[in-house]
Amino acid sequence: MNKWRLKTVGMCGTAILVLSLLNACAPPKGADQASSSKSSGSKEEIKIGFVSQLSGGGALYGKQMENGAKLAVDEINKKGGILGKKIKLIIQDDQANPSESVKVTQRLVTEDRINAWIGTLKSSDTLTDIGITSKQDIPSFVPVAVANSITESDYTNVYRNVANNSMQAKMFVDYILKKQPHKKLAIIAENTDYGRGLSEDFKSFFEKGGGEIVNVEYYNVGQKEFNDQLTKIKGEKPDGIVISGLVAEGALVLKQAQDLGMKTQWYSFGGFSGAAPIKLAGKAADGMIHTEYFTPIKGDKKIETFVNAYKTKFGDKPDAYYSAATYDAVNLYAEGVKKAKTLDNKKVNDALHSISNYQGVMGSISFQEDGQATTKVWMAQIKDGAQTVIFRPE
Amino acid sequence: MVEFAQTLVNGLVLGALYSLVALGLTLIYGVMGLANFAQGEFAMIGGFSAFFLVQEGVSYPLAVVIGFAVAGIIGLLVHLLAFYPLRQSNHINMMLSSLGVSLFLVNLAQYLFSPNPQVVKSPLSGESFNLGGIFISQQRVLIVVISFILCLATFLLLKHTKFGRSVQAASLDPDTATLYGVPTKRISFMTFILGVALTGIAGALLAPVYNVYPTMGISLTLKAFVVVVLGGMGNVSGAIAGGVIVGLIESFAGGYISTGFQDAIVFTVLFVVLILKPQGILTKVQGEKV
Repeated sequence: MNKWRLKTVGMCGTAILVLSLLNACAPPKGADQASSSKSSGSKEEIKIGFVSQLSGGGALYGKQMENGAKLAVDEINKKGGILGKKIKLIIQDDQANPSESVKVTQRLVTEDRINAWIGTLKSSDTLTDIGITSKQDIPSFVPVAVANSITESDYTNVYRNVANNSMQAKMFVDYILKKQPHKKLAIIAENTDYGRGLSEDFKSFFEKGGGEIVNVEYYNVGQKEFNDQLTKIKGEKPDGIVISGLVAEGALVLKQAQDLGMKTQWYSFGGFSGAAPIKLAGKAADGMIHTEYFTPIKGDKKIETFVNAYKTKFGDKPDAYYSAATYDAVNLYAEGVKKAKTLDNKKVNDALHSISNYQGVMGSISFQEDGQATTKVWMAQIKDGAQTVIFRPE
Repeated sequence: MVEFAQTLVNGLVLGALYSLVALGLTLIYGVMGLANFAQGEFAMIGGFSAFFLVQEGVSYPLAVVIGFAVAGIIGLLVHLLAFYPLRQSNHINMMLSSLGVSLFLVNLAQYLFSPNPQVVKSPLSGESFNLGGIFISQQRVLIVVISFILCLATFLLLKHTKFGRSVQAASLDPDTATLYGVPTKRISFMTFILGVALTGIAGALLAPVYNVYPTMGISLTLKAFVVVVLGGMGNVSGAIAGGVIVGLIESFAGGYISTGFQDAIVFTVLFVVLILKPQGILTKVQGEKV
């Protein structure tokens, strides 16, 4: 009996280890893999492969990307398509899991023979996927993932129409040093390439600019308890705290900091756009300043048209950049094909590199040689339960 | 000094919570020999039922009590469908079945409620006690108090009632217990339901602090296993002490070593315990039973 018990305990130990490794991966759901438009005769179609997380924790954002892409495709098809051909969007769920992402991208490239690729939600997945699409020079668009390395890999077929981490951190630091009184900050960062990359960039720019970072604390994705990190930061008495992570954990950070009696200026990045931080953190989010790629503001015709079309089609307002950036990406590809007047990958890539000052929903876009667009970030503040744009570059 | 005290308080609060989840796990293990990997999912069920009830206008305290009942009822179904049919087979099969139950419940919740986190409002949300610079949120105090009461009640139930003595008998040796007229089948049913319902309450209590979402249970299960292995599988007082120990280790590892390695340190302690004292730190080595 006792021996058997020991055996089970050992088994449990192993199982716990395995589970803890699996913990980060969202379990598969397998739904949402249907393609959006009708599939009629395959030769006369332009196929765009779309890969993002459509089940599990990040599905909320992946779904918005999908909607943005669907809207753009439908609009283009209604106008007769490009070069007389309709676009077919082939949607794949990668569960934010690198091996799944590679698998579906491989399938899109070899079986569906896509003409363009758009994805994903996570930088690490995107990096491995563009390795595959670049072998065939397939124009690949990265509207959401912001790790610097994506456009630093010497691929000539990768385009990113959103500011990368470094650009974002640099502009944010410049803004804080110029317009805000806080010179002594602490960072609480997600323990991933995204969170660590962003916090390292922020720290180096901030210190170069004359500010001081008193400490950097880390947390894991899916973590719920932040009292330990916050207690440490509280002891350092910073003027403000930067959350280098996303809203699911960030909202809990804000709430638990409030419970610990911390009153400080909060800063964060694009993950805090939209209504989610207000819904999840309530009053604790009030006063936070964060970078922003897109806000559905009134008074800008391009943005208003997009917001209205999105609302008519999907019922809710696009409140963050995920849908707008993906919408722009589809349109940028269409623009490239129109310019190249052919679907030949090499010619389309040449045409895309020559795009300058394309007016997308998120602003003016020109691609540099490495495929990174020269775009600017906005600054927003959460005030009285609403997002307000406090700085917008011209 | 304030920082040390705050870290200590953080650890104790966390420990109380871990104890409550581990209590259910260890009860079930003791009687059924089942390492229930779906334990944390019952916290998720308790959390979601509190969320929907509060949204429908039910008061939070009542929602917590109903969370207990809902987790218990779903526990009954799960027991009937996933564990009862396997009662004669190897315990490893039951453990695998529980892994299946865990995945099933997480995916079902994602399908029904979407993967997005939901906020549960408690009357204590956003309120804190300030004890000379040491802050503790009122909801956390509530968790500690209820956890303490439930642990004590379970302890007394096992020691001083007929049901408790039957549970102990069934956990020591189910065959002999059956021979002596203890209804072991019924006891195992009731223990499972009690075990998961306790975790359901933990989920409902946690909801205002941690938000609720389908995958919230996974990390709870892991921590509860660390606690239970540390305290001795099937050992009730071990689970309570183990919870506090794990809470403190986690809090001090984060506070004084590194928050990036917090979990790694907790699991290292688990490995060391598994190697040196695999029966758990609070269980005395028993001779081979014949």
